[in-house]
Amino acid sequence: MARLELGRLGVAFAGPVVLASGPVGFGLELASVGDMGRLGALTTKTITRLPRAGNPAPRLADAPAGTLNSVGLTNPGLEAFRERILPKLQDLGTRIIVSFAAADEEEAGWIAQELGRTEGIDALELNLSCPNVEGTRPALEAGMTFRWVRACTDQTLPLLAKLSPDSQDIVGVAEAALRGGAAGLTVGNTIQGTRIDWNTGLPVFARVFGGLSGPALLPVALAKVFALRAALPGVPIVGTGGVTSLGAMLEMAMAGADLVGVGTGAMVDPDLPWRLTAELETWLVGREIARYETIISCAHRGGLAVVHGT
Amino acid sequence: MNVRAERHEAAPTAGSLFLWRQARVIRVEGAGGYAVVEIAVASPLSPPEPGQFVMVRLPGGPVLPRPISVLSGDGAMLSFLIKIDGEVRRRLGTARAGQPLEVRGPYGRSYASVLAPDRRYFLVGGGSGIAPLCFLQQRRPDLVSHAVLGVRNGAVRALLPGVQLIAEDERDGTASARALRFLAEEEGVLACGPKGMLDALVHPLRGRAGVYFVIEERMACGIGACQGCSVLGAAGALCVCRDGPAFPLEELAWPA
Repeated sequence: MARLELGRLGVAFAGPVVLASGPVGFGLELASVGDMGRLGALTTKTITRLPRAGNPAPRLADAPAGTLNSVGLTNPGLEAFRERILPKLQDLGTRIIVSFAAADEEEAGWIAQELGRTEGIDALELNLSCPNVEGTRPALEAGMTFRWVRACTDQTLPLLAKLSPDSQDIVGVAEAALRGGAAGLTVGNTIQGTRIDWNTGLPVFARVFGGLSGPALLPVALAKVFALRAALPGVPIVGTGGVTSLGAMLEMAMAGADLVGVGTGAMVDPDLPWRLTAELETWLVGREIARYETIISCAHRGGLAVVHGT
Repeated sequence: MNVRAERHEAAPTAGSLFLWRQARVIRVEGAGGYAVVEIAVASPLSPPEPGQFVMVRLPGGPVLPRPISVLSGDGAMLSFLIKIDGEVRRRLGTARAGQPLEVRGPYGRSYASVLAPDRRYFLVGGGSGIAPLCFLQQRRPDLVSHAVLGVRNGAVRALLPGVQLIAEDERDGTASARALRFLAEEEGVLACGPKGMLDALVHPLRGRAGVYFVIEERMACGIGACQGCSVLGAAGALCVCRDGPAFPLEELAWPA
């Protein structure tokens, strides 16, 4: 599988497919679907300092070519994660990226330090952009993003800042995250959406707004990844949003994503991450491309013609 | 974009529980706003137990698959009782033979694995909630003391020959009212039906031992990963697909 291997964030990944944070929980259910060692990494469900039950039902709604969710960071809390869940993740044989969120930057910094001195974690992902909880989304604003990220980089693990496609100036926010010490970017979270139940005339979700994911999000995520790659050459990017096919994964890589996150796709089709991995390898072989890495960002430098020329 | 690649063939392991299987509608019979839909699965699922459900999706249908309880079947042939309501159920309930669909599962805990074994159960069913209870009656009559299965429209009887149904439009009253009238002290209760039916049962049955409610919720993964079907229980979040769909009443917060 050398064809798919790549090194980013100081970590060696077996391939570009990363399980995105949220839809697949802690990956323990998916571990019985296929060999996790073939995937790039598992990003955990977002951890908070204390356990969170999450939002009331219903938490899901249909969207044209997508889904809306209002889960609200259901998780067992940092302590239970470290004691009960993280040890099980060590046996999965893949890289572990731990996603975390907090009520304020001070708490975020504290969680980052706690995770930073925990064995068995390859990288952290600071969730600055969950649309389903109370409080603001730091990723909507560059100044807050800078402060939150800076609070979380006083530890040794590489930190991904998870941005929001909802932000007005995602490049400015990304630059702030990098100034704050982020090692890379996850682009990005769901975008805000809602549905009204026209039988009752009321919003479907108790919190009104949810997050849109699935294929509907793909062109939005691609645009954000493309813009960030154009502005920030060399910065590791995990491109996440609406990838449910080989074609979409290739587009994400070509737009500028080093690693490609799969979330909703894996949630409704648990075998998808392995299928994408196998299909990517077959495609590269068919195109006589020796390494996946060479197609990353190729849309910015002359396309596949240039890849073949090198 | 012209991308072609061979489909990766997963080995037939425990993981096959998670793979989508091609299936076709064999027979649809509709009456009274409901339909019994029989499907044949090309590469059979593990045989479902009463109380389990499968995830269903239709070509060109919504991204979110639909959890549907099994009425009967063995994994190669399955039948469902569905209310003809909403995009997926409407398409399924009015499908012609040959309509393709995909299924994966079965998921959820079987009733037999959830119910306390020291008693027999009075089944209270309403609407499409009667489907898994019929399956239990058929497979595990030893667990059942009595059943009151109610529908709005008596025409639904035509779909379930051999099953005793009460019908609101024939002045039979509701399943919940009848169950509360006849329930004996030593019997457990297993209730599956619309929220209004469960609402009517919750106060009279609170505090009684051996009472189980089946919870219906929107789902995405069906395997306990995404927390999309979580409901807030008496002591934190309950994952309906993995820990349910049947729960002891004391674990549920009501109104749910």
